[in-house]
Parts: sequence; C-alpha cells; structure tokens
Amino acid sequence: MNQPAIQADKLSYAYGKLEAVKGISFQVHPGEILGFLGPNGAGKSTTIKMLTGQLAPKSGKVRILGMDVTLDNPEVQARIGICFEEVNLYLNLSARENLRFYASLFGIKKPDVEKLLRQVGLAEHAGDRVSRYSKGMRQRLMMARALVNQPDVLFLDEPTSGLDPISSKEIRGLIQAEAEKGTAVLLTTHDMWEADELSDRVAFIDEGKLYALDTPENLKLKYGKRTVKVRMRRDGEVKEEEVELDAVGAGEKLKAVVGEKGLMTIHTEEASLEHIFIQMTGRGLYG
Amino acid sequence: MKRISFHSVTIRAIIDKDLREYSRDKMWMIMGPILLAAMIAIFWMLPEKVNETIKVGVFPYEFAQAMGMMESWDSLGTGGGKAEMPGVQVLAFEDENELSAAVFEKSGDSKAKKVSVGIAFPLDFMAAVGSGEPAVVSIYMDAAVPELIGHATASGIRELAYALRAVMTGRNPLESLPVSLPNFQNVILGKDRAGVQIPLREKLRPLMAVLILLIEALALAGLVAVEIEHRTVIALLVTPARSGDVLAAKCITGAVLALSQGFLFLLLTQSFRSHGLLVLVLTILGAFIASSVGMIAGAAGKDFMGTLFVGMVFIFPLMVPAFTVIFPGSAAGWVKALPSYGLIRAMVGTIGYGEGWKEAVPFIFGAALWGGILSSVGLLLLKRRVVAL
Repeated sequence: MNQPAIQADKLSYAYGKLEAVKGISFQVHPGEILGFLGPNGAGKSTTIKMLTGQLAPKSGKVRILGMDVTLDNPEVQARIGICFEEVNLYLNLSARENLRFYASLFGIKKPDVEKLLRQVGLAEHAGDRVSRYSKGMRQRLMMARALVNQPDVLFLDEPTSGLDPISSKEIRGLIQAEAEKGTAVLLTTHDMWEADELSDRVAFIDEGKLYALDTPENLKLKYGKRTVKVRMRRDGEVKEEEVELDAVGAGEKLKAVVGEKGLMTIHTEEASLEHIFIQMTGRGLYG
Repeated sequence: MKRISFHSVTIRAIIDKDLREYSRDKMWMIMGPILLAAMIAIFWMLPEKVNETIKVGVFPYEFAQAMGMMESWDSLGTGGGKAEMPGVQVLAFEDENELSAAVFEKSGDSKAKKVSVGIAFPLDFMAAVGSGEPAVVSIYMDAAVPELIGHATASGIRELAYALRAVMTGRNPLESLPVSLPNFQNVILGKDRAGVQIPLREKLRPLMAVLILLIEALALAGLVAVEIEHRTVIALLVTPARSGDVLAAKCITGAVLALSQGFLFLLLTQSFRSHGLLVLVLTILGAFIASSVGMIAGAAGKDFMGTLFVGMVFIFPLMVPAFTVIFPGSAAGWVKALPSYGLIRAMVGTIGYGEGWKEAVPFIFGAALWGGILSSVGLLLLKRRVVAL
C-alpha cells in the first residue's frame, strides 16, 4: 500500500494533569475517509490539533504526507485543509473575500473561488457579508475554505454539526467527492450514521484512548448481533420476538415464527455503530 | 527558542484584510472621522494669538485721556510710550454703571467696550486733589485679572494724584515725590515670551495629536481582540502564514491607522510648516507607540469591553505629559518617565518653539526605546494569547 497521508504514532497530550490523549496510533491513506467517533471530551479535537501542528504532542510522533508536523512547517500546512468545529470566519468580509484572503495565505494568486462557492451552494451569496449568513451557510463556507488550497489531507471537525438535513447531505457529498479525488480525510463526528455512511474506517475514541479501528462492516460483524425482530398477534395480544441469526437453531426458529398466522411485521436488526460504541466504552456518543 | 520569520506577501495580505475589516466597522468609521474633524475644528476655533493687551476703562471721560498719556503705565512692564501705550488700551466711559457692567460683562451693548479693569474717579477728584482732601477712587477688576495689575493700577492712580497736586501747586511733577526712585533692570530667566506667548491652540495641539493616535490604537486593539475572540487567528496559523507574519501585520496595520489619522490632523493644522520632516518622524514614532499599545490592549482584553478597559488604562497615563504643556512648569520626574513624554516634549519643542533636530534627537531616542519596549510586550502577550487558544 502507498505511504499513509496521516500517520499518528503513540500520540499523547495532557492539559496540566488531565491526560486528554493517551498514546493513540493510526494511519489514514490517500483517498480514505477515517471517521473519528467519540463523545465530547473524548480527545478528538486535541488529536486534530496535534495532527495539524496547533499543539505539540507530549509524546509520540505525527507525520503528514511523510513530513514531520510542527506549527512552523509551512510545507505541511500548504497541503492540509481544516474545517474547524467552531465557525471562525471574518464576519465583516464577504464569502468571496474570505476565500480570496485564505487563498493568498497559501500563495494562490488567482483562486477559483467562484467554483468553490458553487460547490458549496453559496455562489448567489458570494458578495454578501458573512455576518448575514445563516449557521448552515457559514458551515458551508468553512468547508469551502478548507478546500481553497486543494489539500491532500482534510481535517474535518464536526463539519455537519447543527446543520439541516439538506445542508448536511451537500457537505457529505463534498467530502465523498474529495476522497474520490485522492484526498485523505479525517472526520470527527458525533453522528454515527454519518460516520457509517461516509467512513471507510472508523476509530472509536473515548477518554483519550482508541477502543477500535476498523471498517464499519467489520466492527458490526465483530461486535454486533444479527437479529430479526418479529411482531405478531397471539390470543388477541401483540407480542414481539427477537431471533438471533447467529444462534444455534436460528433457522428453525425463524421459520416457525414466520409461519404463524398472526404475523404482523418482520424487521432485520443490524447492530449500529452507536450500540457497538456503548458496548465497548460503556457510554454513548452524546455523553 | 524559535526564530520568528516574516513573509512580505503574507503580511501584505493580512494588512489588506485588516484594513478592509476596519473600513467596514461602523463604530470606527463613524467615530474616527468625527473625532478627527472635531479636533481640527476645535483647533481652528481656538485663538490664534494670546491677547496681552489689558483694556482699562476710565470714568469720567476727561480722565481717560490723561490716563492714556501717563508715563507711569510703564510700571506695568508694557514698555510702551506715552502716545500708543502697547499692552494697555484705555477706553472712556460716560457712566460709572456702564463701566462696571463692561468689567462684569453685564451690559450687552457695551460688549465692544468690555474691559478687564475699570477706574471710576469721583467727579470732584480734581478739587479734592487740589485741596489735599482724600478722594475715593473705585477700581473694578475682572476676576481673571491678576492681583498684580490691581496693585499697579492703584499705584498709577496715586502717582496721578501726586502729579496733579504738583501741577496745581506750580511744581515740577517729576520732582514732587519726596523720594528719588532707583534705576532698575529687568532680568528675564529663559526665553522672554512677552508679546510672543504660545496660544492655547498650540498648547492643545500635542494633546489632540496624542488623543487621535491613541484612539486609533483602540481600533487596532479591537481588530486584535476580535481576531482572538472569533478564533480566526487559529485559522490563520494553520495556513503557511507564520506567527511572525501575523504579529508584524498587526503592528503595521496599527501604525498605518494611527499614522494616517495623526498625519491628517497635523497636516490640516499646518503643523508641518517648519521642520516638516522632523514632525513626520515624530508622528511615525507616535503611531508606533500607539500601535504597540493597541497590541497590548488587544491581547490582554478578553472581549471588546475588556480591550477597551485595558486600552483606557494605557491611554490616560500616556496623555499626562501633554497636560504639562497646558499647565506650564517643570514636569515631575514620573511624568518624564512616561513613554509618551519624549514624543510630546519633542513635538511641543518643534512645533511650538521652533526647535530643530539637535534638541529633538534625545527625545526621539527615548520615545523609540519606549516604543520598542511596548511593542515587544505587545507581541509577547499576543503570542502567548494565541498559543493558549
């Protein structure tokens, strides 16, 4: 396999006595989307800060595109794009001016900001001041800004947080398009459905530790239960029965249940990433 | 320790962005020009010259002429001759009430005759002097007139009475006094500013200039504070822009803002007429100090109000040296130690007293040193603040 775009090796960081990240290691390859799943305070943002040079790791090593990361490494910074969790745009400037300004910091003299703004659906409001934008519009502009230098590595910290379903879908489409172009994407999110849909692999992080790192399918197979839930009417009462597909005699049991006269509904119950997360860490993603 | 590097293209881009943001900030865009216009208007409305002439009103009319011709008015230090009497203007009044009203500004139509000192002789003054009887002369004085003038006026009246008495008894008035007056010589320490006093507008000019520069420092502080508060500075530092670029850009932006306003004020108040280059250097130094103060306030304040508060904490002490011009006297040691003292002293010396480079250089060095110290503190604070985000 080719060289990893992101390589984190035994990364640790502490805020005073509080250990925020405890020796985590992972890699993200070009064209891959790695979903970083974890509740608030799990260490996701701290990890991104170390990966982007905003924080120097207490121990461990970070390499982006084969280069060491420090805040004063313009070669690395020229090739990464970051979409922060908090909106940090210049509100008194227009979307166009924001993008042009950031492009100039990357040494891009004639950036195609109109194309970027079209991609995020802001072309019609390109000249409006960002202070007049809705939260969704600002978030889309944040995404456009992260792409202004056509990065090889994208760090997206909760890019769809608080967005309406349509905006979220558009952003997800953009992320997928970037990955298809070969960009390595590290995506932190609370939304396990989003992580499941977008990520090639997901990493579960909690209390600074990495609990799992695999494809969503493998995690579900490894940690989930394949079940079928059946609802039926027996003796005038609605009953519910769960059949574990991997249990001994599951086929016979399912056949018997399906053959009953009072059968009402049948649902396959696939384990969700959230269930697996709770199973592994003992707490939910919104904890 | 990490070396701070600078990239001109990045610095220019950040300055351009900052100026664009500043130009869209309604508060500064309204307050800045209003303050500038107000300062310029106040400057031009203030008197151009110091009126050193004392208007003396005399009643009755006949005595006014006699007073105007009196040699003894020279005792007021006017140095005037008998005919013109520069420094003293004698005005005749036909009514004592009108005279007192002219002193106390009570009479509307006598405004043109407004006088600082009024002398009302009794109508029988000549007869009383001739007979040797005591006569009561009323002296009206404006509260603002120094007491010394009152004493001099009283002496003048006594001398007049002696002279009249001598004339009436057939003696030479100059020899009638029982004592011979000693010759005396005036010794003035320092520059004699009699007749060329610094007008109020010149005294206020440095105060106004410093105020304008420091208000612009607040504008920079606002820009820095917003950059920190909105965390846009983090977005800057994850691009190839270095912290040195950001800090240099902020410093230059602040200096440009302060310099443009300060320069406009000094230009429109004709402050570049003599030693223009020196005044420009002083303005640039002032802008540099203002920019440093802005950086400190911006980095130290947690939000806009905090920034404003920290800014004010710096602005008031920095304005103190300008007050020493308004209230003459030797500046106290602690005032001389303030960062703005050298700058203001040099500006006053250059614009007000026509001093040149030779006199200004020590003050320029002092101000530059302070500017360097303040900007280092500002940059350090800003860097610490950014790292802590």
